Amino acid sequence: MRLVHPAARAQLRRRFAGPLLVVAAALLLLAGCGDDDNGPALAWGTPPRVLTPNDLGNDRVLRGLIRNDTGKAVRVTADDVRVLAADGKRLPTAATFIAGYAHRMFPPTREPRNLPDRERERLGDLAVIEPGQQAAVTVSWRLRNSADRAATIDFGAGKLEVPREPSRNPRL
Amino acid sequence: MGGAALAAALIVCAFAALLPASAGAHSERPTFFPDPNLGDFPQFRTTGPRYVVCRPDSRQRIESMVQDPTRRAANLSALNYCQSYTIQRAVNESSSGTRIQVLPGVYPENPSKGPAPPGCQDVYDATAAGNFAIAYEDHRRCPNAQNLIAILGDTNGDRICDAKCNIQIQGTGDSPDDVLVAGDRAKLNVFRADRADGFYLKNLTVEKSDFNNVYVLETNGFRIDTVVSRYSREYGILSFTSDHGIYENCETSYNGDSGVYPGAGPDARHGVPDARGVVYGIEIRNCESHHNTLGYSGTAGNGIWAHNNRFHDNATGLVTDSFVPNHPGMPQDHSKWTNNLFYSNNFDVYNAERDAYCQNTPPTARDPKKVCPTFQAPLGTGMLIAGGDGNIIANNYFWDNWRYGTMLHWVPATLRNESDPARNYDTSGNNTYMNNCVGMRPASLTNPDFNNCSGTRDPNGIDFWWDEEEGQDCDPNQAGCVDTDTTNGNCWSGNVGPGGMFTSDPTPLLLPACPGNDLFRPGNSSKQAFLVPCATWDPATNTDPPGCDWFTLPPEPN
Repeated sequence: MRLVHPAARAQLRRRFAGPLLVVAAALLLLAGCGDDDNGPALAWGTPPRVLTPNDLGNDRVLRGLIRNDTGKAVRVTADDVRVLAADGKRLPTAATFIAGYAHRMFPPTREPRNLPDRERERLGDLAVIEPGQQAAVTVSWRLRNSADRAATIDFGAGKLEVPREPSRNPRL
Repeated sequence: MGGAALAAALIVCAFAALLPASAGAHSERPTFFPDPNLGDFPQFRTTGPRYVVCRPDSRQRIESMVQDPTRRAANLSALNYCQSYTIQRAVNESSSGTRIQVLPGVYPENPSKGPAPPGCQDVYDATAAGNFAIAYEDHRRCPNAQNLIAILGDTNGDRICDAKCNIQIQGTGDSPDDVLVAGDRAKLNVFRADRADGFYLKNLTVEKSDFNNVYVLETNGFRIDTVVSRYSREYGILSFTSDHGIYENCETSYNGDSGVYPGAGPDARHGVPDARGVVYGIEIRNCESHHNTLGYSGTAGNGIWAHNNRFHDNATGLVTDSFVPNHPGMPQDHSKWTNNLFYSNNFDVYNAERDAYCQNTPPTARDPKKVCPTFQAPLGTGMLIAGGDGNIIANNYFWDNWRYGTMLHWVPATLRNESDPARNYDTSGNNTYMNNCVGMRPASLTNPDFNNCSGTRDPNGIDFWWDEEEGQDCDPNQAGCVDTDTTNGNCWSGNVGPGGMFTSDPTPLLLPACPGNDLFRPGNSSKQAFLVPCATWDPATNTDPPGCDWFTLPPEPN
C-alpha cells in the first residue's frame, strides 16, 4: 500500500450525495489525490494499533479513535465497515464502536427489530460522532494468506488507511 | 424496604423509564428486589393441605417404576385422591401453603397450550410478536400466554406474595426420572414462579422450554431441590431479582444458554452479614451442570454462594458478568465459589457443523442434545468473571479446560449505560483466588479432597488469565466513585497445581498475592483488544469473527 501521509493523519471523506460527485471522487482517489485536499474530514484521533492474535496468524485487530473533523455529526454503523486489501478485494471483517468486550442484552436470535439508536450505540453497532469528537473503534479482519495485508478501511462514508503493523504486539 | 433495596428500586425505575420493557441479558419486565429483611429459605413440608395430580397411566408407572415399596404404596394410595391431570389446574385450585403431589407420569400440560382465552388475545399476540417482557398484570390476566405452569403470588400489585405463597410442588417417584414436565418448546417458560414467596419445587424433571424451564422472579424465598432441567433453548433454572433461594441437588444439561442462572442476585448485603446473619442470599449446592453452553451464568449475579457443584463439559463452566443495562444490582459483586469442580469445559457448540445445523433447523425440530448456543463464550474455559468485584474463588479444582482455568477481565461501565464517567472502571477489582487446585484431576469426583490438592495431572491451557486491570473500588451506595476499600485488590494466593506450580498470563510473578494491590490500573490493552471482536459474534451472520479465537476449540494441552 502506498501511504500518502502518516496513518495517524489519514483522512476519511464523507460520501458524496450525487452520482457524479461519487465518480469524480473515485477518480481522484484512483489518482492518489483523494486524501490530499484540506476539506473537513474524519481522521484517526490517535495512531491506531494493529495487533495479531497469537493463535490466529492471519487475523488482525485494529483499535483506535476516529475523530470527526467534518463540522457535522457523522453516523457510522458497524455493518458499513469494510476492510479492503491492497488489490481492492474485500476481506472478512468485523467492527464495533465500543471500548471493551460487550455482550448483547438479547440473544442475537431474539433481538427486536429496529433497536433504538441508544441501544445500538451501547452495543457498538453505531457511532454518532459529533463535530470535534472522537469514537473508539475496533476493526478486525482475516487475511487471505500470510503475505496479504489490509490497505484500507471503508467506513461507508469514506476510507481510512490501515497503518503498518508493528513487529510485535505492543503493550498499550 | 431497606435503604439499599430502595436505592436499587429507584435505579431500576430510572432505567425502566429509559428503555423498552426489558431487564437483562434476556428480555424481561423491569423488576425489583424483594425486601431482604423479609422472607426466608423454605423448608420442605410434610404436613399441610395436599393436592394430588396424576396422569391416566400413573398407576402403571407407579407399579413399574417406583421400586421403593413404602413409596410405591404411598403413591398407589395417593392415586385415589387424584384431583387433576395437570399441575396448572392444581396451582389454580390451591391456596397458600398447599403441597401439590405429582404422581409419576409425563405432564404435557396441554390445556396451557390452547388458544388465547377470552380477554387474552392481545397478550398472546404480543408474545407471538416477540414481546416477551409483558407486565406482571398481564401474566395475572393470562397466566398461560407464556407459561405452561404459572404460580403468581401477588394479587394487589404491591410485589409481595399474598396468594399462592409457599406452594410446594413435589414429584412423588423414586427420582426425578419418574415425573416429567414436558415443554415441547411450546411456551417460553415451563414453570414460572413470580412473586411466589416460599416456592418449593422438588424431585421432578423439566424439559424443553423456549426460554426458561424453571423461572423464579421477584420471589422472596424459593428452593429448587432434586430437579433435572434439560433441553431448554436457553436456561435450565433461572432466578432473577429474588432472595433467600436455594438450588440444590440439581442436574442441568443441554441448555442453549446456561444450566443455572442466578442473575440479578441479592444486592443488599455486599458480602456483609445482614441482621439475620445472611451473607449470601442464594445458595447453589450439590448440583451438576454439564453440556450447556454455560454451566452457570449470572449477569449481576450478586450475593451467590455456590459450593460442592460440578461444572463440566460445557463450552464454558461459569460466567458471571456486568455486561448489560437494566439488570438490577449492577455491577456484579460479592459472590463466593468454594469446593466446586470445574473440568473439561470443552463442549464445542461453535464448530461449523453445529453452526449450519442451528441455522437450518428450527428450535422445535432440533435434536435436544444438539445445543445451539444463544450467546458467545470462550470455549474451553472453566470460569470467567467479566466485570465483577469482591468475589471469592477458593478451594475449587480446575482441570482439563483447554483454554483457561479461569479468566478475569474488565467490562466498561458505559456498556451497562452507567452515565457517570467516574465509574467506568468500577470492575473488576478485589477478587480473591485462593487455595484452588489447578491442572489436577482429583481421585474421586464424588468425594474430592478440597483441603489438599491431590490427584493426577490434567492441565488447563493456562490456569489463570487476567487482563491485568485493577478496577476502582466504587462504593455502590454513593454517587461518583468513592473508594471505601483501601486494602483489597485482585489477588492470587495458595493456588497450586502439579509440582506445586501453576501457569498464568501474566506470569505468576506478576499476579498480586492476597490481599492484593489496591491501586487502580487500566490493564493490558492488547489483551483487552483481543476480546472485543468476540462481541460481534452472531449465530446467523458472524459465527467466526476475525480476530476472535473463542469459537475454535484449543488443542488439548500437554
